[in-house]
Amino acid sequence: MAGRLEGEVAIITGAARGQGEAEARMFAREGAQVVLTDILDERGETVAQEIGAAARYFHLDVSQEDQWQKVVQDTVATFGRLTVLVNNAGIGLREDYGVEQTPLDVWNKVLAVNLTGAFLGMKYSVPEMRKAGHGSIINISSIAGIVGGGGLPAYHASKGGLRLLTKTAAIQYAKEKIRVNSVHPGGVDTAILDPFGEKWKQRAAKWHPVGRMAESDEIAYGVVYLASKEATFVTGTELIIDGGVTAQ
Amino acid sequence: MGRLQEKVAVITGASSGIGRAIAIGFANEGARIVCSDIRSDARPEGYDADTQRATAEVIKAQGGQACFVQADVTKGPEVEAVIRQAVERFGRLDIMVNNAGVFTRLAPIHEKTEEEYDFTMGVNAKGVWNGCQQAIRQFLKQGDGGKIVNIVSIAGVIGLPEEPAYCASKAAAANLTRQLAVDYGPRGINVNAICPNFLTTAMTRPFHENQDIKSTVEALTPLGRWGKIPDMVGPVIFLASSEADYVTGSLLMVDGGFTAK
Repeated sequence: MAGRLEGEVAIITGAARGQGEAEARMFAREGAQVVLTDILDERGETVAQEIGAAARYFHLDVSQEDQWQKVVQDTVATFGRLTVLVNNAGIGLREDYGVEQTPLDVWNKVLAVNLTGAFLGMKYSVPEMRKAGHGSIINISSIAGIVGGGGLPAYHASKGGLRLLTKTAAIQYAKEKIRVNSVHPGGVDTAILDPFGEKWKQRAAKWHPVGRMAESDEIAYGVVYLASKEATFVTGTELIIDGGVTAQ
Repeated sequence: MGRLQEKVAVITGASSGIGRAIAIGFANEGARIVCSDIRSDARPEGYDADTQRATAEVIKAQGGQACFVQADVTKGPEVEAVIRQAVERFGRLDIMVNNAGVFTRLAPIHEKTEEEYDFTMGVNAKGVWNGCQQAIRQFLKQGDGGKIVNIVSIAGVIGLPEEPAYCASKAAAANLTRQLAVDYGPRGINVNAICPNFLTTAMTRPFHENQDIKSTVEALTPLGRWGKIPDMVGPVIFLASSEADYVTGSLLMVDGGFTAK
């Protein structure tokens, strides 16, 4: 049976581990050619090699404009085109404690990766998608982009900004068959939660009506769906994968 | 191996339009289908191919397993009988798709009748309630979870001109979806909905044939076109499959960007 992403060429950021790694592996299984990017070069190279000929790893700090230009160029040079972008790279910092407490450099760093990174990715990927005649951009936001929380102001601001950046880009590019959607995971048990500790993770699991956090693959399935032809009428939407947290 | 291999699904409003396409799409993914509807044949004013053959017959002709059970979703005992027959025929229930829906006519509330309100709420709100209630009772008996997908509408999340009863009924179904997700998440029952835009079915033919309405919808939809029935099938398969085990209480918009604005 042909894969659901046969013929697609994708860039996935933050793909060396966790959710991005799961997305890259699933994309390849569904027939896509995948460029994995990250700042963790050794780990990223290893994952790309394990996936095989359909994958390449390129270094990318998503907050750096010149690096984005190079990655998009290298992707097209390697696989001939670009049709899918998954802005997955994201950070959460423990020092992002509250509006008064969060230092300005922490605020700037979170915004640079989580929001500016996705903006730059779209800015340099759209022209290639236009040439290819279609595209699907999937921005990994969070339930923190839908509801407020008791802390993490920079994280909530970045993810909320990404939610509306997504809708705005969706409207701008709809006529060119470039779809833009956001995914909103609840708690996913990956390294992004390490700064918060085991106890916090156990508490967080209990906020979810299903009583647990998600595995990376459970988010990746949603990303595959949005990248595939099954979602050709889906743009500007929020796919919430949160075990029921925001239904409450 | 299909994405719904061996699953048993009940689909209401399965004779025409979206329900018919979902039933056939599910069968293509390996599911066994109980097609339920108030009428067994496809509505002639729809856009379906092959309307002279009932949905279950189409599925069987393709080598799938399906049967038809007549029911009016506004009647709890009739919906209960559909679930009972699904279990008798195929041994269990895995997926419930509450798709049956009605629309009466465009008119503001001061021109609407009580009968129009009752009919619209009866099918679109109470019908979904009945389907969820009966499916959940069966899921609880089985003890290993289940999937419910409600076909709501963008009318469940925004106001649309001259559709007061339809919007109220779809909003009821939308928030019932979220509420049930909270109660039954701990028992592995996922409850989600898709919210389509205007799409070409028997129900919307009068709109589609009205040039003003047709072009207004096109202009308000960023993708620039009406939804088509096949656009809805992939999203519902996703929500019904094990790929969506962590998705519950979600309203999945399938609207060409209509509500992104």
